[in-house]
Amino acid sequence: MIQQTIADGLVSSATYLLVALGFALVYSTGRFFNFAHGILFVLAPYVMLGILHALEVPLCVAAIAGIAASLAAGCLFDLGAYRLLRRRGASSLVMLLASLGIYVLVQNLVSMTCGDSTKVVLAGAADVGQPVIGVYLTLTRCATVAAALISATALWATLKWTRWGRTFRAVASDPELANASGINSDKAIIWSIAVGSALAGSAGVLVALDVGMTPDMGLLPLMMAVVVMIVGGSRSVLGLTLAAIFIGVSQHLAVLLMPAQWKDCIAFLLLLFFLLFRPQGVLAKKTRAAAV
Amino acid sequence: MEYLLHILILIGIYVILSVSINLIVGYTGLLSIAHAAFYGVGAYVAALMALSLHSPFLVNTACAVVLSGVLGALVGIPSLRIRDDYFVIATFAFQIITFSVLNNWVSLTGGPMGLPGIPQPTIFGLQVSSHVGFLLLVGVFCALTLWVTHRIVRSPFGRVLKAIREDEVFAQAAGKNVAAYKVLVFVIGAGVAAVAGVMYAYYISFIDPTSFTVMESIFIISIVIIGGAGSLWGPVVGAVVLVVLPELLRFIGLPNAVAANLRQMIYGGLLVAFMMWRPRGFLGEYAFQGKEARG
Repeated sequence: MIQQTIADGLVSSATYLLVALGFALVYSTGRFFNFAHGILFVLAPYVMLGILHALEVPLCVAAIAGIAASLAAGCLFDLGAYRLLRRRGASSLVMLLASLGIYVLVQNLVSMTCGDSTKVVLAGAADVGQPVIGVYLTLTRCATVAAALISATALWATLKWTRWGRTFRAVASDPELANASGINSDKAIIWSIAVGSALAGSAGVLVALDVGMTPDMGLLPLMMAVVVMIVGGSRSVLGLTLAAIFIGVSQHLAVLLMPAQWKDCIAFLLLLFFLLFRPQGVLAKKTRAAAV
Repeated sequence: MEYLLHILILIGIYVILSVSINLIVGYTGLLSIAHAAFYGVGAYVAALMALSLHSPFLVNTACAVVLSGVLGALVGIPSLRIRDDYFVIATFAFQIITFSVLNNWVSLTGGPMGLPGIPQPTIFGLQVSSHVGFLLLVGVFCALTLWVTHRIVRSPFGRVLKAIREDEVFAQAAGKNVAAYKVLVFVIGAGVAAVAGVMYAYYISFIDPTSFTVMESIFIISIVIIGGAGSLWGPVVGAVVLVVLPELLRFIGLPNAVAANLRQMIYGGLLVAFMMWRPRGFLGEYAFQGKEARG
């Protein structure tokens, strides 16, 4: 029983981490809360489903096409809106509101074209999986955890050791100085959005394979990504990973103590607590927000 | 005719909501996405009192305003420590928690089933039952809200609010108790939003949590942004535009489900467009510069 709860918690953690990695990457290079990130989580599975219905292709091809659609949409948001706003010196609040508008726009576009009902990818009996040391594992859920671990490690290594990573970090710490030293910050931002969108898209695909999809399924993982980022700090992959594990597992453990519908409430109370008392995250030393 | 009155009543409710959030967002510069929470708390307090205590309308309204005001103070307090986009996230969290409580505390709020059968209000012995009656009632509260807001923004209190918006450190240096002003403006804004909630509950006579979601909060903030933050008549213009525009879609003969989506797409799209080309809205004087941009 307890193993199963922890395993469920880890699968949630993996989803939160996949969304949060991209969200935090965009936050640190672009310096705004990109709410449109949540809709990329929704877009990928719907595109995947559409392709599966329209063409005779294997599931993995459709999944990759869905993730590519998310990536393209993310870049489109940047080229169409964010870049223009940056040119005008828009504040982070204006960027946040614009991305919120994009979120509302695209979510309703999805819900208008595909309907509000829950859609599943693979019809038929639900796969409960094989019991391993008292835990029921399905392929999808193992894949979610693996994807999160691989993405986190790859992102961490890229940021630390490659030239790309140095560019990202330079833009994150001071975009003007980075520009002055010959780095194109626009390019770094659109790359981070591309990477982040692909990660959000793959998280969406995996969740849709596990439990199905609805047009409004993006808001909760988005908000959880915000919680993870605030708790873990936006600049540290390790911090994000630990925060995702902490939040996912503690949410599921809390279900043992109280009715399940309160588990999201707990995460947001945690968010308020961290915002008030430790807005820079558990590992980081200080952020812009901490300085008045 | 009833349809026209219905639209006017809705406009009235949204005018109350958007004028009250404008005090917080437009005049004081604290972007908050939690107004549907106060709206909902107002509606639920009034509905529960009317259903279980059978108390009169004005008493219910007063209780709703007070309770929502207390919650407003609770949301306002984080603004003393965190700012700009981090504060937006905090209000977002509050909005989601409130919705979750309305939706999950089934024994009190009825959960997703909502609260049906809210009785018609009686004020000084007169029962308000017709559309015309409700329109008068909403109109009176609307006028009251506009008048109070007008008085507030013209008063020394209002000038301090604008000073906090433009330069918080300066306001502090001028000896103003910035913390008290911020919390107080939240109390006022939340209290007035509760009035809109009470109107809604009595008018529709049925409430459920889906009327008080995050999306509703975003809708209310869109009204202020499109109409113009930091101006008295901006939110009124915004409310008229955003309530009437989707209704026009019905006349083209779109099915209801599509119209609901289109309504949200319209305000989502307008939100993006205004942020890109006219961040101060039709009439506004505040363009969400944030605190850090001004150094």
